[in-house]
Amino acid sequence: MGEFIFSICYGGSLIFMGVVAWAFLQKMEQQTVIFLQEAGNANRKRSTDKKSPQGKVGI
Amino acid sequence: MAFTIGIVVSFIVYVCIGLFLSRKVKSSEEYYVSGRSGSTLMITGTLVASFLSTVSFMGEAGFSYDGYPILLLILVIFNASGYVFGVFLFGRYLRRSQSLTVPEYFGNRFQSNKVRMAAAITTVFGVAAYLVAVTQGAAVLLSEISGTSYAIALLIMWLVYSSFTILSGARGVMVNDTIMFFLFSIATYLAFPYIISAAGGFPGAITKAAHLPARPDLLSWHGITGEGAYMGTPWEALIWAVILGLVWGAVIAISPWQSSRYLMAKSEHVAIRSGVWAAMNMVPTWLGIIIVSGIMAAALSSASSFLQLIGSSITRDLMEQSRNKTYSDKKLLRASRISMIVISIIILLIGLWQPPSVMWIGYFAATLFAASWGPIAFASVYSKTVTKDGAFWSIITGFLGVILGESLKKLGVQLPVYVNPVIIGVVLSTCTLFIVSRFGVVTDEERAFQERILQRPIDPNEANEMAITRKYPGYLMISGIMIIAITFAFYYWPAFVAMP
Repeated sequence: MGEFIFSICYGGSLIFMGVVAWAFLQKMEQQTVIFLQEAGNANRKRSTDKKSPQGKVGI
Repeated sequence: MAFTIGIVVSFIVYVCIGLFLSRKVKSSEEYYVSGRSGSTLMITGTLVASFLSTVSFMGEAGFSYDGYPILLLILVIFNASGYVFGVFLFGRYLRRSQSLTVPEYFGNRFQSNKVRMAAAITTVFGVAAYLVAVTQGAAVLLSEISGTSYAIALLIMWLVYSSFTILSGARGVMVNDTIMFFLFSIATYLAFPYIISAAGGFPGAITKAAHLPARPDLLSWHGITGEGAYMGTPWEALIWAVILGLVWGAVIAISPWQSSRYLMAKSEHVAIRSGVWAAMNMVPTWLGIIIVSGIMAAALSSASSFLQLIGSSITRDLMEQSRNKTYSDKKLLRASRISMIVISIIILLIGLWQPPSVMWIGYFAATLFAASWGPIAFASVYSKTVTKDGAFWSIITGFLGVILGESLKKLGVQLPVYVNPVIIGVVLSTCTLFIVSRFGVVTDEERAFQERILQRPIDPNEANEMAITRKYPGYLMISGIMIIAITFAFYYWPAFVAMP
């Protein structure tokens, strides 16, 4: 039984890590989209100010 | 003879690369972090190569030969995760700091020279001990292969890694690490079928190994039982593997010879891809490490990384800070090379004087970092309440906790498996960090630095870069499915299902 669980878990650990990495990237992407949208809105409001956004996003 | 010629040729290649690249090193940034120009392949190569060393190939291969091969792989399940968690939770923030060394990052984060110097001293002490273990392991192997004495083999090893590291710094180390990474990866995959064939072919060799009367339970999850077994009950063995696996995961995530690799990455996307790729590479490579060679390359790559780290910590974090002055680039380069020469000579002398003890010294030195750096590494990114005094005392107590635990063991005190010296160190370090921080105040400068590293720089080509990075978790999951199939076909089925 222990050997069967090991056979699944050894490769399964990579699948788990893949899911974790995917979740981190998903969060990074969402934050980038939100930041760019906010920066775009702010730029439209300040139509006279032609400066580009800071180029940085939280976390 | 063929092995000796092959090793000599590879040594000449590494030294020539060091010589060639040394002409291109013009600034301290080139020498310490290879001009922050590392590609995904190079960062992955140097991450894996500097981690796998003679401690893995000899110390741990010896452990598996003693009768615990599956237990060792259970440990790997946990330590490989250190790459993914390490790059996302610490490595990418470290890279954003634009520091040249990891102690410099701690110093800047807590706006404290004291913290920086404590981190640098632990680096010099811990990495030098690890370097001694790796050099000794490689010298033992070289003397066995070539028939030369241990002292001559030690001298040859020392000359090779010291020369290219001192000459070319991080740039040479990164290029040579990548070459060595390919060398031992290819050696692993090529040698696997030959070894199985020599042991009696597939599936006979596996079935036979699983049911050897002299070594009962050799391929069971908990390792051998009866005569020669020394890991306690199966559950104690499992707890040991899980604890040590997690500790090594922390070592991978925050230790100077791993996390400093992210400082060399060209961009944050490159750092993330390298962390994921290294995790993907780690699990299958370890299947081969149990039985396969490639050890010389692994030893050299780790030794060169360690020497480079010690040199940069001494010059940049200790000499400059203790004298409270900043060296010019030219002076910094010269001081780094001189300090590396001095340290490498000391390592050589210790290697000659001290009897080889590859696994014990390696484990002791590496786990020091999990205890003394682990809590402050993660707190430096995520906690808004830790102070410079908390960080300083956390490093000191974590360090002393491991030494205390190891001293108790040396004095013959039997510690339960869950009170490993590193656990003592981690508990002391974490408690100290939060208790001491309660009595201090976080300064505006510390807060500003933390806020800066929490801001992710958006790549000018963000959409394309993200599209590439997003593929890496997919590769990781596909390789996981392949490993499950391989483990079933080459381990579970022949050993426990297709019994004669």
